Amino acid sequence: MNIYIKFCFVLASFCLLVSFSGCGKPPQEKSSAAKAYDPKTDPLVNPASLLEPVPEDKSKIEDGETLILQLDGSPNTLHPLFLSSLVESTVSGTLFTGLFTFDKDMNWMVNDELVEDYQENENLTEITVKMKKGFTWQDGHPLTVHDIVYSWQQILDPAVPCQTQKPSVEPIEECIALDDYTIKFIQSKPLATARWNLLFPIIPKHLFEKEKKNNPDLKTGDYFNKWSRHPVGNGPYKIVEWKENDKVVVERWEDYKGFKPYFKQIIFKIIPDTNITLLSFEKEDIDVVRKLTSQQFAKETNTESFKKVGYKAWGTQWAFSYIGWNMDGSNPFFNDKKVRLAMTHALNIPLILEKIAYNLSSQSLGVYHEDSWMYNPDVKPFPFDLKIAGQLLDEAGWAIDPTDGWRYKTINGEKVLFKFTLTMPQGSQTSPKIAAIFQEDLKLIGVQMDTRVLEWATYMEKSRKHEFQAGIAAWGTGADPDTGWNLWRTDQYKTGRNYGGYSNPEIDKLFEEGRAEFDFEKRKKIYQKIHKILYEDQPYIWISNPPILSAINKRIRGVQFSPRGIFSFDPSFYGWWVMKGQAKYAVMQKP
Amino acid sequence: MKKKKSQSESYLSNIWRRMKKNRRCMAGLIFVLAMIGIATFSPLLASNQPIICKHEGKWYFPAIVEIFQSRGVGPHWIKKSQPFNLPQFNAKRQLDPEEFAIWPMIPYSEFEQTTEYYLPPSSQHWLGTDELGRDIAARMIHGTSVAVKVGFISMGIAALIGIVVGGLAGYWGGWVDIVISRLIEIVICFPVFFLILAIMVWLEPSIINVMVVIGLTGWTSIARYTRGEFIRLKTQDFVIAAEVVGAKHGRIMFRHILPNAMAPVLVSITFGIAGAILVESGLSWLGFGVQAPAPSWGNILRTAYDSLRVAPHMVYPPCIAIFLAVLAYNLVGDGLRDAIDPKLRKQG
Repeated sequence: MNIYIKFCFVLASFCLLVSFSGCGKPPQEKSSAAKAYDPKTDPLVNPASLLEPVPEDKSKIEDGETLILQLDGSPNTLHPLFLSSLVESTVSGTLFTGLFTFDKDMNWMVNDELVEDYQENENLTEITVKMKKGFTWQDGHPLTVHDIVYSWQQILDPAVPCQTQKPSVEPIEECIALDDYTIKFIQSKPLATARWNLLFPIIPKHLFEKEKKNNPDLKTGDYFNKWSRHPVGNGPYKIVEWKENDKVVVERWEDYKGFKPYFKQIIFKIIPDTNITLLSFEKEDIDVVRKLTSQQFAKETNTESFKKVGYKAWGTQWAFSYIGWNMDGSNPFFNDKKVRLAMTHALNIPLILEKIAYNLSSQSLGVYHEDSWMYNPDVKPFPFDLKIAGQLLDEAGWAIDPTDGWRYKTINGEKVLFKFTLTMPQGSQTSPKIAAIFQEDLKLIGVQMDTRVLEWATYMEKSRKHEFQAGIAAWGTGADPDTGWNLWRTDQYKTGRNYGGYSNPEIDKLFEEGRAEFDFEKRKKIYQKIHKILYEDQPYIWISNPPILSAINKRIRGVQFSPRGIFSFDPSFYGWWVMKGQAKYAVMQKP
Repeated sequence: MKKKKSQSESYLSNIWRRMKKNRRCMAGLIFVLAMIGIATFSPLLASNQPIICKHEGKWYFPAIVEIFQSRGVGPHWIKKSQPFNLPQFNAKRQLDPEEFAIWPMIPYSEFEQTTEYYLPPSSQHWLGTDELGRDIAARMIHGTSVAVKVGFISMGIAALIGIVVGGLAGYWGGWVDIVISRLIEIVICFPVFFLILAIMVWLEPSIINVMVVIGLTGWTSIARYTRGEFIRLKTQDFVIAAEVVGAKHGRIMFRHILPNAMAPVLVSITFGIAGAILVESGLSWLGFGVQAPAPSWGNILRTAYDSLRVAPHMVYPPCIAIFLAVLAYNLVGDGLRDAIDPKLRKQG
């Protein structure tokens, strides 16, 4: 009896399997599979309507529309001081506004909506800002410079654990409220990056002051737990609903005094799985997929069902994927520059760009993106050449043992095998493929590489504790080259992002010089020098520049590209709009 | 009469006789044995090295050497006596008809990357190729050993713990029984899968660790069965007889009671193996089990899922293999249970 039940189950699951495959596309023809994908000839990529700017005549714009964005993870908090992921800052960013911002070309800007007058002295040590009157928090309490002063104080308060905010705020020596609407920022040292330090978040003093006594960290306790999920902001959107692991809904705050975005409601749908995301997009359950995989972009979006509903956005991003070495001496390999260069020569980057990135990304040639002003055009890529790699390893003392074909080196009388572990965070589709290609090529030159997948939080923790030999990941680079400060300086080994323990006194000095230099041309020279030294040292293997790969519903217009993607700048999706008559969702009116 | 009794079949051979009559059970058993065979001789079935070849007048057996080498049991002299150089051989073969080789059925290794990505099944690649141009059939064959190993070793560990702990509880009774039974209840409460996920953060995520953790958490049902059987058997005449003769407790437990208590424990073990295969596949699917690019059915399925729209053919082999393996163990377990069920004995 039991067995028959089981057989029925078997049959059922088989039918499921077969029907599942029925949904799939028939395999690609061999000729098209062999033909390389070229995004420039794909009609779905960056069409004119997608990029159409906001029209002069505002009556053409649909006003009551809803925008549904996809998030690949669930936010933990919307508290602006404690944001730790792109997902969180995307959602939280709609609720808050500040005095300063930056545009799509990563230029620092004064936020004209909020600021009446801006004054700075020659070396930027004193900056005075006059705010417009009439702005309020979403609970009706007026927004004044006292909130800004309070925010500055709290970020620097040792009891408040907002480590990501502190470094940029620390140079601000004093924040003085001259009157309710005028504020003066005083910085101790003349810094070229002084303006960027003013971009810290603003928190409501009138709400936090009372609760500070009970919870000095502004994070724990009933009040702040609740506030982190339903913050009272000062921005153009208000939070209305948060369903755990499902969606976050924000609605336009009609009493906002500044510029009002064109979408009445934004729904952030949480869908972590890339396959399901694409299916949801084709079903029009979501309007925007922020990040398609390169395979989806090149191979899986040429279906009829996709063509009917969406376009693809493709642009460059100031980011790079890399394999980083641990050079702090905890392993006998990567302290040696020759070994690192050998590894670079052994990684088949052209193949990776063609077969795994589908010609969508360019090769990364160092820490600064080739479109940025701090990039040094003198750097030349290291070619993929296993012969050179083998020679370099020979020179470094790692000789092949003819009995088993692997490389060994005698260190302190002990014969050490060249075998290391590459760690990678879970969830990436490309990293395991890169690792597999790398592993096979390394075998040919007598080096053993193991791989290990770690869950993201663990991966970061191990990186911070320097408990790794090699790691694969990606960094986005900031607007200002000074953001490399905590990646490369020796003193950032303990506190910053210098996980691999890179140490070069010249780089340390150059970063300090770069900060203090006000002349643009001289400053450019300094960072170009840094770029070149780093690339020649190869503390990382720079692999590729991950591009913007998004899917966007056809009715949406006004998309702009920035080096940070299609979100996270001014105006990002505040500049998106829908033509009148093309609205899709009726906004649910609250009774 | 007396002679017949001494030759009367033992409990286990009685069960075996009944099992043989159960066709489904035998089909499952054959499949399991086939899996073990494939796992053991995988380099002979799928490898880029020839099984036998003649190179410059000398005979070589590279694939057979690989059987030992890939399992880490190859003593050094094997490699030394067979310094076979594949690229050299291939180059020579192009020119010299004297060079001779018998290749494995699938002439690709599980890691060998070709430039033909996502090829559908063809005569060249029986199950097609994957996202790095590797032959899926070769990867499936080499992944079999993971499934077999995980099943047997993890349940071996579980059986060892389960039998000892359950046996102690059943045999001694009283306080020992109460303490052990509570311990079993505590261990049952651990959600095994999440426990393994958590442990994998601290340990290297190797297949050995996966097996050990499954073994360390999967012994509870075995212990319970053993305990029950021991309680049932310890009052039987043959046990009392052994006690009267003066046998030590250890001897009574393991020589006299255990062989008679084994059958229900074996049922639990076979189901446990099926469960262990599923857990391993699940872990590899998430990327925490066998580390890619080493093949296991779970991580083949993972990459297939990521490429579902581009290459739907990739999803079938691992799905069907996992399904059949689990089914086979369940059939064996079912058959075994039917064979030892006294209610069904009359029919058998």
